[in-house]
Amino acid sequence: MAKKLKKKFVFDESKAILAEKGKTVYSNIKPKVRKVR
Amino acid sequence: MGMNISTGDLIQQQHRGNWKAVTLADEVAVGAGGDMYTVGEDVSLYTHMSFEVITTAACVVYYQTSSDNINWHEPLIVPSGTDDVTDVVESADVDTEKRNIKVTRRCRYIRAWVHATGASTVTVVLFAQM
Repeated sequence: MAKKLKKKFVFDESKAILAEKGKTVYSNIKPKVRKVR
Repeated sequence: MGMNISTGDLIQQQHRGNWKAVTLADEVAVGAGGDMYTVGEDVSLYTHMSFEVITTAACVVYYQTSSDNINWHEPLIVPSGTDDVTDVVESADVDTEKRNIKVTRRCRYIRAWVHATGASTVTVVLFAQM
């Protein structure tokens, strides 16, 4: 069961800085496939 | 300032499966008592996520989840210095060191929110793994 807020914190987007998104690094490791003849 | 998390660091932390590492905030200056948040990142394809956060002063880090990238769930606040983690959000006081915050909830979109207790430079990288 989720707990209640310990204290009220206001998430006000108008008073906060929106960070600029940087680079994304991907890894696409493909599984090895063995050919069956 | 060498506060960037290098690509080499990213690769070393992920050993298997498809993954992505997204720099959501790169050395963003936040004033004392100020807040910074990131854009929402689509993580619907990923099952394991964590944030790496670097700050230069004490900050409280939250993450928020969303199903539409518009409306965000308000996270619960966890007292600092405890392991009291809810199923909604984990927060942590961070200060001049890299901290790993594990995401314990599946979601479609996720973003980080940082409240700077003191004036700080904030870097946030999201790791998402299938």
